[in-house]
Amino acid sequence: MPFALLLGAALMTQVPAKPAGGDRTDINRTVIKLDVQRHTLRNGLSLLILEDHSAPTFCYLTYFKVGSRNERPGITGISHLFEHMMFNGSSKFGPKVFDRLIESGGGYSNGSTWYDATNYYEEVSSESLETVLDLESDRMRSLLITPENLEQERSIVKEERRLRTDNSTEGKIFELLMANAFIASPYRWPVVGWEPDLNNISLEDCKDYFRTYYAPNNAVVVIVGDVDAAKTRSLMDKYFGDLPSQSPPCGVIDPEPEQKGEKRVIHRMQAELPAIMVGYKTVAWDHADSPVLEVIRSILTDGESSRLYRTLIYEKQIATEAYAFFRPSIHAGLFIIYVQAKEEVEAAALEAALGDVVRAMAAGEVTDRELQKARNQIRAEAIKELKDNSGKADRIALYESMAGDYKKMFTVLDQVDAVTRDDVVRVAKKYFDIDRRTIVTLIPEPAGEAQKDETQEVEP
Amino acid sequence: MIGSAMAIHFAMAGMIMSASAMSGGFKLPPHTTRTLKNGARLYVMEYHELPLVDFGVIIGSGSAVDPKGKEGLASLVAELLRKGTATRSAREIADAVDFVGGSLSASADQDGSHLGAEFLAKDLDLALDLLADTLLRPSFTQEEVDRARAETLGELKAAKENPGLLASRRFIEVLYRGHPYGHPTTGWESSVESITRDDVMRYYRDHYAPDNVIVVAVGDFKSDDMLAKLEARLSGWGGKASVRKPLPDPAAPKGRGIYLVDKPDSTQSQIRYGGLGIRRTDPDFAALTVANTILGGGFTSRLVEEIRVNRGLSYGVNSRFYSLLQRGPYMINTFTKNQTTLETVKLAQEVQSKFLKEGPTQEEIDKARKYLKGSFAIGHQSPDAMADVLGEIAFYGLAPDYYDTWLDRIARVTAEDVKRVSAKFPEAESVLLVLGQASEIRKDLETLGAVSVVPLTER
Repeated sequence: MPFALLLGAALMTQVPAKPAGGDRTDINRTVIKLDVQRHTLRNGLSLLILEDHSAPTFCYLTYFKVGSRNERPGITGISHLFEHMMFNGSSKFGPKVFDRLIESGGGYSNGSTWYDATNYYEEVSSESLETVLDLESDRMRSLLITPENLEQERSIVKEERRLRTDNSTEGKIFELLMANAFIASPYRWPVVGWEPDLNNISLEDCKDYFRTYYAPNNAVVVIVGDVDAAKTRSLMDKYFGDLPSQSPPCGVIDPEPEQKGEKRVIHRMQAELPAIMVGYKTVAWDHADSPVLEVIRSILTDGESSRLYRTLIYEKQIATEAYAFFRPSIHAGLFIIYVQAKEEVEAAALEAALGDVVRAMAAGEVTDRELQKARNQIRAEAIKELKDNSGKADRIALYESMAGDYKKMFTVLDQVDAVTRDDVVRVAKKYFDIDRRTIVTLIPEPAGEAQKDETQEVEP
Repeated sequence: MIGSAMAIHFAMAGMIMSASAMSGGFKLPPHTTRTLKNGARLYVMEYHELPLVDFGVIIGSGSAVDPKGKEGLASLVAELLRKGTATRSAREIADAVDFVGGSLSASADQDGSHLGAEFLAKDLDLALDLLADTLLRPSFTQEEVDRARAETLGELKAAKENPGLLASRRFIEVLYRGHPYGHPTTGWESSVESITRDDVMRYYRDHYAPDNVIVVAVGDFKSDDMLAKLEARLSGWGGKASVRKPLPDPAAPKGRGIYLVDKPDSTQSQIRYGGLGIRRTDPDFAALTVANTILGGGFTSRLVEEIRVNRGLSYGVNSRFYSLLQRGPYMINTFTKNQTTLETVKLAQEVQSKFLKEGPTQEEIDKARKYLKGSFAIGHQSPDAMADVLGEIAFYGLAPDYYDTWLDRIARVTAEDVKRVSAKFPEAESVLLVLGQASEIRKDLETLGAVSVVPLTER
């Protein structure tokens, strides 16, 4: 295959010459273009294919538009539990066969679940394309949902919960932050589910869930790698064409009322160091302030020149860890900041120092260089996310599903480039407002004295 | 398998560097090597898929040469490289890296110290300047030494909240007691407290010399150009690393030791079971890779099947050889709720014994070979992965075509080979370490033999 064609099919990169002079000289103008082919099956399944022949492998990713936001009290955690159920066999391929065939195809598979969606992917060698389509269509058509499968995955998921939440200080206070910040939003319950709900999920719940949310019209399939697009498209018609579409699932709204005052939560557990996790109510992904919040996140947290690292860890030396987290979401989410104290530093001192960092943003202390640094970092990160087939598939699926067009992954970068200092000040003022804030404080208890591992709400 | 919204760190296997069980089906893109007059060895590979460039610098001394009482020194020295040079302050270095969206990292493992960098290709000169400056001209100011020491002590304290990491660290200490591999690379609180600026300068002077350094560059550049740029920055570097005694052979544990680390509020036990494994240059590396894939490497391994799939005892279980210059550790890692701790331990031991005694089925051999064939290509689609492979070949002195012939060697592994190498899995001379709530699990563990209690944090 001619080299130019190969490049064009895979990933085109161009680095235009730097413009002369001005403070935008250093803007990182590295541009990436993806040549993605779209196709919608008659049953509503969306298909996107990107050829990349640089390695004899491909990634197959299914993005189901269902996450914990689609759950209800009593069955929280079912989306994630269901992700586990998806590997346990279907009518044509019995239990354990899925992973065996994928590994025999020289690959691996995995899935992940979060508030807004669930995805599944496998990377395998190119010659396994039909095997993958056979496996994937069969489990979408006729997953085995049996009492044995359910009981097995229920106990594995409970171990996962013990690992990541119950025996993790950071996991525990994150769960408490979400549960206390939101009173009506479906983001208030944990993705992994409350343990009593995990015990309560029934076989019928699972069957209903599968029928409703795992229909072809609720799925986006992205294939990236060493495949022929035209051939893959007709194979997809062959394997998935007979699957019936279902009536679209019930919509989920965000009934969260406006927060008009700070919320404080104290959590005591066996731990070494105090920590705080703060969440500010923000907005949904499509709000115009979203790219500005992304820039603020970067200024606060990206690299050792970031404000959180530099102030709390490097200069004041009061924290062992400090980061900010913000991810665009379907409903209004939180802008989160976590700080873990150094020995002999009290949580109150962390809070005061963090308050100064946040107020500095709102007071306009951000420099032009800092702003440009954030733009550059966000763009470089976006390029690095496209390093391999699975990274590309993941980005394409996310933007296609949430924003309706995978190309929005690049539009977002342009929006980030357009963020000004005034935007940063305005948005910081608006969202880093004490009345929008929930703060969870972890108070360590020495070993053996934390029998009452409970949470209490207190007056501020 | 959950995509929690937050990056919650989970270090199941601990901080052990491994350049181990990767695999084939794959030809390494061409690369060029050059040894400078001062002894520095350069490895350069063009990789044009992405507008990126990746660097890996390996200094052939790590935590195994930490002086007694100064455990954690190699790690602290590496950390300090980025904290100021003759011409740049720590802030200026961080700012220069971040401004262009690059990354510059430094760390140490048992065998070596590492600098790594990833930048957009257009920032290649800046990346080279920063790498050369931090490697050749670190200033180690008193202020930065004090700060880095305090940061490390903070991290050691914070690590006490990570049961998986603690279990792995205690396992290594028990297994390698008295050996240079027997302390965590980050050191202990007591040893880190005693590290002075003089210690840092001495370690740097003894070990950071061109004849002890490998530099790897992979990315979107022309090789000749890159070699010239590297040579321009490194050829003026003089000095020789001090001569070191070869690492002693670690002594195998006497019999089957059982150790318990008490974490009173834990509702889950972290389990580590294993012993001394192999050197990276072990002639049976390919056969052991196939063997371990079947036992506990892949997601359809015997351990996963029995412990996770058939009985739902754990969310995760694996077994692994962490191969090093000397014999590295081998261990099975898993975790389970308090009530099923003994059941899980016994099952893991049984699964391993049965496999070592009876050997694999032909079907398992076929599946492992195919899996290993495909996974190497999948894991090597990016310049940083290529840089790791080149660094591994250079550091461990593997044949230049090591990975080009890897697939053939994997394909030739038979069931008899797996059976033959099964003696290299530690069993009779082993360590079982469980970290969990002693009041709930101690009696159960005592049914296996005498249990020694190990403190949660220090030796």
